[in-house]
Amino acid sequence: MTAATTTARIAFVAPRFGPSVVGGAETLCRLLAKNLTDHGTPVDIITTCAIDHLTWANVLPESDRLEDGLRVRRFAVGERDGRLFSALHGAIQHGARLDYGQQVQWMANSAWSPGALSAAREYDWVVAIPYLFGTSFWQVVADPDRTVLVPCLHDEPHARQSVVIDALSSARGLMLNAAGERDLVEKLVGDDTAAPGGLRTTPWIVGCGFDDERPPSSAEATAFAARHGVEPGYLLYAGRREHGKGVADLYAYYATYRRVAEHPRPLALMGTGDLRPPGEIALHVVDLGFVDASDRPAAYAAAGLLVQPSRLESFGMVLFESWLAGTPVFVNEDSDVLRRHCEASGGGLRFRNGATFSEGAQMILDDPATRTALAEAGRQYTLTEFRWSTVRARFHAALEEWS
Amino acid sequence: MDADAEAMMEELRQRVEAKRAAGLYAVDDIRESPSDPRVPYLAEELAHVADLAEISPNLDDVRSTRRGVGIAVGKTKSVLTRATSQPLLGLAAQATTFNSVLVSYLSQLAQEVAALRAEVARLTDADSRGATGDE
Repeated sequence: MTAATTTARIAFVAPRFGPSVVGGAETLCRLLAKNLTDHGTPVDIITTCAIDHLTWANVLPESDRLEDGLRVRRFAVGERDGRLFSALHGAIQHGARLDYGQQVQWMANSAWSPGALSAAREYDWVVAIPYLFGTSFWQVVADPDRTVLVPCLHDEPHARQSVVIDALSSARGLMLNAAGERDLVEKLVGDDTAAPGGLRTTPWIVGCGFDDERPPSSAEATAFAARHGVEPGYLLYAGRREHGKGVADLYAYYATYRRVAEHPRPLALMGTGDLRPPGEIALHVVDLGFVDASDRPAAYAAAGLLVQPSRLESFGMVLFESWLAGTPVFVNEDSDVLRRHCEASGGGLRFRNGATFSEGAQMILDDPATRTALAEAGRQYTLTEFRWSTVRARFHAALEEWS
Repeated sequence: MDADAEAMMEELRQRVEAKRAAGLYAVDDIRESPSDPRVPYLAEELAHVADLAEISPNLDDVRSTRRGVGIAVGKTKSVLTRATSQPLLGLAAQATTFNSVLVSYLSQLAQEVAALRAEVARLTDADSRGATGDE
């Protein structure tokens, strides 16, 4: 811990917060804030009264109270035109080029909170998570000198808007999740003439942390698989089942794998979503549904490999959870973040089409010694780069450097 | 045992090349992202756009926040707005008509694309079931 953070008042600003909010950025916010607070750096949460990320209805009362050991301050979502926001957001997603004024209008009608902006003035450091919401954007606009952005950036059309690049360039500092995300920031800011000076400060890779916990025993893994009616050694996908996460591609690649593999394994899906497997493979796909956090290590441990087909990741939390449970990973090579994790760790292989998926899956699954060695390399990488004590040290060092 | 993941990646690529040469993998098997995530506009998204198609300027919302002279400036703006309201409302009506027609046309296209996609999915599914003898 450093002088910049021993006495400083720190707040995290997030558009939504609470146990029922399970998005990646919100989870990162909760875990990092809780871990810092538990280790002597109190962090307050400033958030809205909304839970639903589509309606942004103020369903919770404005409040200031302790939730799971954290001081959580909730403020009403400000006036916004949800229809206008949806139209502009959809237009950007579909490749429309908005002028700067329209982009400001897009952010003006995103979820924001005047109460949150006002409360944030009481703090020495305001850490805003993630980039794609008015709560973060207007915080940077209102007080760039004290605002650190944790963008959780994806390579998507929204990230390429000039107002977003201006926000990245204006914040006092950026805390990023992975080397691949840093590459993306450099590419975006370098590509945009609106930010000729580049970033104000050198970004720090902070990320999320993990503890060195004992992997589940083989008996625990076998028991989990038995409860769900699936043979251990399956291919596991963990996440939302939607196009944006690459799940439709996963189904197509898995169909190729089933066609060419001598002893194909089932595909297990952990999480929820409406994107169902096509009839061609449906009989071989097992729906684990929502798996409780206490059961998740066993779900990973019972898998032969974890497959992550998403291209849009800023951290890749499930990779680390899988490695810690003793299971190697198999990721989309087009995701800079996932590819860089695999290259740095040696904890998994990469695919980019049905053929590489089929061959790679067989190379991992058909050789137990290789599988174990890959998983161990990933585990070592996790505990070297993303152990909680290391993450906390990077957080403090970043604030110290920017003080 | 240590695993050299990058050496394994090289081996993986060589295996794919060899099997492609042997005819095990077809063109579709080496295509990246076979399921294009760019779905057409959904009906709900188009409804948001349709809501915005109507241009209806509020001619009564004319004011000034300038200290001291605000009231006088506001009244002058009101007079000017009333004087130009006829062509202004005409322009707004024309824009609304154009926007509405365009959104209707886009809605029709989106529906046709969605129907075609559903038909392709149904035929592909039926084809694969036939090939695997599931039915």
